Amino acid sequence: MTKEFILTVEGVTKTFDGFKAISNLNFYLDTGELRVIIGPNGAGKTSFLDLITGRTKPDAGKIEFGKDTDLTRLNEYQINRLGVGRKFQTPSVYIDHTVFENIQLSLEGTRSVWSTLFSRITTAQRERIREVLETIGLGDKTCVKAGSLAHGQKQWLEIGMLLAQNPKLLLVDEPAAGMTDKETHKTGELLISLAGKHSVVVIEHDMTFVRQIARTVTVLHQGSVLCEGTVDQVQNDERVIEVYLGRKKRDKS
Amino acid sequence: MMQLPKHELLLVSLSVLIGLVVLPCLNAFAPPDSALHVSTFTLSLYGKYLTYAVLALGVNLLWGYTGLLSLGQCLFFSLGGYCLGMSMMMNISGLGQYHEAIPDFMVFLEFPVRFPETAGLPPHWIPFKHFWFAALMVVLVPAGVACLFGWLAFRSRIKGVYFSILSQALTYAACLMFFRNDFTFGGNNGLTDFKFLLGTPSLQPCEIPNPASFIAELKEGKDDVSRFLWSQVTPASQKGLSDLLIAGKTASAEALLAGEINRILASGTLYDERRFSAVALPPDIKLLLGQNPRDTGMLKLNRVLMELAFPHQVVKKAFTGYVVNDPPTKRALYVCSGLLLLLTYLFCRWLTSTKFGLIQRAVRDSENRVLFSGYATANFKLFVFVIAAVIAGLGGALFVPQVGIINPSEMGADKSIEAVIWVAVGGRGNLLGPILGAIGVNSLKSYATHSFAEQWPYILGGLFVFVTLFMPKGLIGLPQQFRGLWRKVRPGTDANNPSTVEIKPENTLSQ
Repeated sequence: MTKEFILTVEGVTKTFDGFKAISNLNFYLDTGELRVIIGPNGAGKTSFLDLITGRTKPDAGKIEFGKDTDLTRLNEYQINRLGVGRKFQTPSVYIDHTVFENIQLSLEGTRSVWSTLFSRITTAQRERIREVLETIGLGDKTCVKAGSLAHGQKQWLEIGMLLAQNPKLLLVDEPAAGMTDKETHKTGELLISLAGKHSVVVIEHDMTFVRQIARTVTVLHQGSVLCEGTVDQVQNDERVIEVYLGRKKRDKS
Repeated sequence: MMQLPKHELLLVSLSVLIGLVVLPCLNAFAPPDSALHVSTFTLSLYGKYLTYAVLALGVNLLWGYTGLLSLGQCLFFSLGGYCLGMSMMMNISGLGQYHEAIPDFMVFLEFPVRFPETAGLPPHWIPFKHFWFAALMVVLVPAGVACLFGWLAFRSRIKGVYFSILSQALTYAACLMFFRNDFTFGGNNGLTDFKFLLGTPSLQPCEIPNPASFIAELKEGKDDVSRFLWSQVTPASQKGLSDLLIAGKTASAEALLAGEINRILASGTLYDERRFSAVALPPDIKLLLGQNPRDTGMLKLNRVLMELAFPHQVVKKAFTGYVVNDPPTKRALYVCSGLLLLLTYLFCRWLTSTKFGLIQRAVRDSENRVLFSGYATANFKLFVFVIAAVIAGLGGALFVPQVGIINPSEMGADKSIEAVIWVAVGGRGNLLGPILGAIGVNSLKSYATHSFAEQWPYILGGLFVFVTLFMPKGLIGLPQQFRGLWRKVRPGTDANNPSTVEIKPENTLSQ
């Protein structure tokens, strides 16, 4: 029996003012899989996440979540409520809220206006927030304003906000940006531990980090998939070397 | 659930004590020539500031807490004002220049020709004769307009400066619309010359239980008062009354008779020594007659005289409304404004302390994150927008009777910008700042427009620029700003750790 895909992207095209950001893209993600997407700047990685999360709508093609939920018909918050969590490239946390409140607002539960007016935080929810904060290593920063955290801590806080939502699919855009090597490694371990329970898509530039977490790597180039495979396969692929690693080597020289 | 910081609780209680107890008492009980006396004019002026402060709290809820800079809040303020103004206009009771039952502007704009079925009253004005309806509209009209505009704007994801411009265009469009005479709200004069609130001493048609016998009695002229009244009824109406009675249209006759009597009651004092020689007058009425009251007082007295002269034809009813310009009414309106401000403040305190409040500020700081966390941010913004509109409408409703006029210039674009300046000056993003800003800037305005009216716009503009550049947290943030400066200037204190600086002296004292 084959595993079910949690995410099916077929023949997706998106054009911005004549520029083809995504062109005839096909992408399949197994349930519980951890996938890394790499690609040179402008390859369409972030546009790809925008399409999945409903920020932009594709010109053509289908994007399905789970068995047959059409994501192209839904908007951002509806897609999120299905269980798709997204971490942005630049950490976006609520700078004026405490770390605790940041997680509190992300906890799974109803999202209606009325419920937020009259709901009170329960002990179970408090426990869950503490648990998440322990996981992301911010247990001692509960009452600190998120704006005063270090860059790496903000990244973790945002990952924590994703975890609190308990999503089926996590889309993580450059989680290691601005982190020290030690922090990067810790982030990697966290993401690996999430795989299995959740399906995870990570966009990353840092090849050490990619090597640490990746099982399967997808290379995007000019808006479509160039190749897919293990880190070694991908790194030895001539097309990849040409468009991506090759150029990188040339840059360095 | 809702905890006030200690110093804020103290400040609020003190303000309530002075504003809601001491000032009204000084107005009511201190003799007018004493230094402590607060004149009714001054009290009404403060009352106006208080309603502005209510408006400012609404602006702050939008701008300070949700990041929505609406430059059209005065539209909702004016709409609330117009609704209550309409209710007061419906109680004009024939005391206008034309002594008609309809407001003056309807007379000179020839509304009786335009709306003959309703004697000149535009149909949508009619329900405003009930105060409860007007009160309901004070809330529902601003809420409805805000709901429609907000729904369209937020659904289309109009944000930031575009939202500000649109909201300004909305209030400007409404302003132009209200300027038009055929929009039926008084054109550029607006609504003014208010007489009664919550009731009128005028005779209602239902207060003449037996019109046929009353008309017969008047026609017969069995006493001096009857003869006088019948002589004042226009010949056309005299004929009309007879015709209607013959045709059996009692209700129409009743209405026509009430209208005629009300016109007579409003156009001059009914009392004449000879005319009332046969009527027994109680001593308190005699006392009032000696004062020879005019306008509203005269009408109230005339109604009582009617009841005394025709005990069987006119229903006896004590007047339960209020004369808008009476000092006790002004005082009550002032107290209501203070109470409204207090309630709005407490409501905002509660709202911002809930999870909703957290989301409000989250939308302000990072709307995308909220959206991608599964919240329909448009609904949250719409909710706040409607709440702020209702708050503004309530403020406007209390503003109008205290100021005595509402016209389209109140919803001009400049007024809404002024409201934003109050909030900026006082300090946005907290609840006392806007109140302080609204009262402070308007006190300054009252003083400045007296002494150097020409320069006032420059002063106001300069104030805004100064506050934006040098006082980002406004007046309310000033102590904090000074403390920060002091720490920088004073050597040897730990600038990075304010808590230790403040706690240390206490610790050493206790040890």
